Amino acid sequence: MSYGLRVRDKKGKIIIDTSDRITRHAYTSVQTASSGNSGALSQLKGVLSGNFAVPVNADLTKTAHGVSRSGTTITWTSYTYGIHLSPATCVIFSFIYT
Amino acid sequence: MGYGLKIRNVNSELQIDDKYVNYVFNGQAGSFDVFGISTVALTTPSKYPPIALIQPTGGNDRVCGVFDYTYSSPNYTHIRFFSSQKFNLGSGTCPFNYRIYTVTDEMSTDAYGLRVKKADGRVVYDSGKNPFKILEVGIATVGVTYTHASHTSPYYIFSPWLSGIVGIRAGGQGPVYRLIVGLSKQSSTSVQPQSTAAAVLGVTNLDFSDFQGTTITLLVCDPNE
Repeated sequence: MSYGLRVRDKKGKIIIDTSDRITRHAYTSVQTASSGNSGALSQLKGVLSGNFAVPVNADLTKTAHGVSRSGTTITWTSYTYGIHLSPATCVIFSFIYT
Repeated sequence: MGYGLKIRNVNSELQIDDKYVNYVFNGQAGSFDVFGISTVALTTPSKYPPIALIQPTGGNDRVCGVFDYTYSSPNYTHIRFFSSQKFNLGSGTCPFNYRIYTVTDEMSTDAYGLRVKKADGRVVYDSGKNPFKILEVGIATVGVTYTHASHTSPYYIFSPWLSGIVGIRAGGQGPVYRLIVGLSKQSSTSVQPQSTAAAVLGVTNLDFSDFQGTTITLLVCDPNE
């Protein structure tokens, strides 16, 4: 090991090594059942991320937000169809993985 | 950074610092093989929303996904999953595994290892806790197989579970189907988003259809068991 951090458990198994990537939570926001919106996240500059939404207290007349990223901005978009389908409140997540 | 700890790997990618908190395995994992909704109660309800990873395990026309969280102020208390069979093929079950990850202020019971805390005392990293890892993020299209050749039998997060609605006149008056898109296992290195009929929302005298979209964001994950 030339440099970096290596951690082992009590059995000697390597838990974290010098070349590992650790997925880190970067952002959570609860968005009510309104139209789409966006947020600028400076912590996303230069890194890869996974961005997604999970509905809260939904039922089968509710829909989930779509989430996309452009640069350091993530955008969430809702979906409605007539009287049948309307957006659920959603939790928006962003995780950094590099 | 005025003070604290920041650790990077050999590629200069940040591993640990005092800003980010990891989601770690909360000890809850299991399997379902049902048609409909399955509910898991969080052993420790929390003000922080949980993360659930899923792994569909069989039947290339069987679909599943995370449906929603149950929130009862001030805590998230349950996670609900949906599972079914591809639309037009019946009402079969879908077998899948799940694992749940949460933010916790509890420290591991390990006697040694590495533990890093934020200035406010919250645990940023604990070598005795297992965070999930994102291996790959891609865009998957409904009805098209997504292959992740470098990763075998992973777990997944996907978003959104796309919605659709279809009215079928059926010679007079017919049903209004509510569609939902879940994830179906195709092989140990591939999955496919597929639609299933989740409900009948009413009846109609018209033929119509509308869909939220045709693609989902797919996160291929290592559960770090």
